[in-house]
Amino acid sequence: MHSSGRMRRRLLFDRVIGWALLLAFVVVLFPLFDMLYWIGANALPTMSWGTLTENQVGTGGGLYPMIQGTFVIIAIATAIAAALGVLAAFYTTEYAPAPIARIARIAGNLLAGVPAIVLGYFGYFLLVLYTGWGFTALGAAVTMAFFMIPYIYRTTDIALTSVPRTQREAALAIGSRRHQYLARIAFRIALPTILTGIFFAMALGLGEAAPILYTAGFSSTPITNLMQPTGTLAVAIWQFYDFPATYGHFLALAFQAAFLSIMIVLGLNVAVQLLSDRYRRRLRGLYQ
Amino acid sequence: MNRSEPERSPILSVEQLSVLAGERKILSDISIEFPDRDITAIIGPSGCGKTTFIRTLNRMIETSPGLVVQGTVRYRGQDVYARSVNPVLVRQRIGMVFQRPTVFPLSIYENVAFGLRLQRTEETAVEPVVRRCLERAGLWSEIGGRLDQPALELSGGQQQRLCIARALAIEPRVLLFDEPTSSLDPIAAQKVEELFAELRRDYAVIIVTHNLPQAARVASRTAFLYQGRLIEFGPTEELFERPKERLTQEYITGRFG
Ligand SMILES: Nc1ncnc2c1ncn2[C@@H]1O[C@H](COP(=O)(O)OP(=O)(O)O)[C@@H](O)[C@H]1O
Ligand SMILES: [Mg+2]
Repeated sequence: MHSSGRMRRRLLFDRVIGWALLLAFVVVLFPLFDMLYWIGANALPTMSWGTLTENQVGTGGGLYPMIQGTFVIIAIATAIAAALGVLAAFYTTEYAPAPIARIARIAGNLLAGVPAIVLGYFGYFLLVLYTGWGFTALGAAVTMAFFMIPYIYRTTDIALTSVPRTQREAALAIGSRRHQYLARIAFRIALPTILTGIFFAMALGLGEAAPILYTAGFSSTPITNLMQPTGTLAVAIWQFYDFPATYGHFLALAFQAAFLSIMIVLGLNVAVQLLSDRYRRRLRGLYQ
Repeated sequence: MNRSEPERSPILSVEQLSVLAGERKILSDISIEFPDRDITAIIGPSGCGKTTFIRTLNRMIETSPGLVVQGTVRYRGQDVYARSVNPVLVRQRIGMVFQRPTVFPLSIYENVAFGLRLQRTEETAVEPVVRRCLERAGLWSEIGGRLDQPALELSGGQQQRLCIARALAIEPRVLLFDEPTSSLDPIAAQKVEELFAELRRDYAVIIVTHNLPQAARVASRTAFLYQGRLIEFGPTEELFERPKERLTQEYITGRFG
């Protein structure tokens, strides 16, 4: 029959598309798994509990100071960037006149486009030299915050502008002031997306060495306050990878630092996923 | 609030109200008065300006940029657009329920308590109000104590009645309804409609409706809007049975709209 021939061709076409998509998927994922394998194979054989708990001394020891530095810097940077990014998005979606909102969004995109190394230099001149602080965890955290802000700002902005208009209407009609609408309704609805944005910013920040290298310097001992030079995992990779092959332990440390960075990102991802799923559940039915 | 004295003067009076979108007049020179403790219906074809009109009454119109309001709206003699008047206070006095249910993604309890929390009402005072408002909206028995249930899990009709309960909680004097039953199935719509008879005892109710039989059933007075003008306003029965204007006659006999 005429139509069954056409039908068969359609089914064949569907199948070809299906295989092509699977192939694309494999092509994308293969290098990722290959890289994970490469890192794991070089990191795990010599990895021990000491890798997590010991200071790095001479050509031995572990990554404890860099793990500590990473957590301290990323935590402070995230706190600063989340506060500023979310407040800036509140301002652009609810208060700013249209032309200013447009400029703010462009500025956000521009900031996202500034290479991390440039931010690093900027932080170096401002927070290392100008302030006279020298290399510090605080200077690195502030620089890292500016690296993270555009991601948090843009996702929050998008999340807030996609809150259904009817929610705003209903809140205002019952006598909410705009900040009350933002804090009690809009933020609640946008929260799962905002969390995803914060996670993205953290994951990108964790992988960046440049903004930290020029502001925190490096240290292979743990810090006792925020005004000391500080090591991080990303910088440790950069620091340890280039040693000649005879310094096998350094090379292993570089791979272990990379492995730990990936594990941290993975852990963060799971945590954020669980959290934002929980908040998303409260919104079930909102978009019908 | 003393509600035993019947109000002599109208609770809302509108004088020469116009709304402009750029050059275009969405509403032209509307003058109308709304009595307290009574239901007024506003009818008219789609796009004639019904929604725009009731949004001028509680200054919700100011939340959509680009529209200019001229003329006066008085609530108990006070110009609601006066410089010294805070729109938030206007909206506390003049509540609004929308075409589609707009419950917040909060529990049933928190939805009703929402307006009270904005005013930092004592928690001990919130609970009885929540209960009373849910009862008035005919929801109390239906939800059977599941006050912590997410409001979004209610059916469409229940959500709309929850919106009514939420509006009642801050003790408005005027309630504006914008086609409150048009998104509901007939049974849910009837349950909402049944509330009107009871609401009229305590509130000035203004209801925009597309549904002419509904206007005839619930409203004692009806206004007919057409292309941004108030064509006719009078007792519902007269307007439906002996319209003075040819346009009204044509509209209610279904010749357009
Ligand atoms: N913010 C606005 N800007 C410009 N025109 C508008 C705006 N809001 C409504 N209008 C126009 O005003 C007219 C009346 O709209 P509306 O009040 O929603 O009518 P109804 O509720 O009777 O269907 C429509 O033609 C609509 O396009
Ligand atoms: Mg309308």
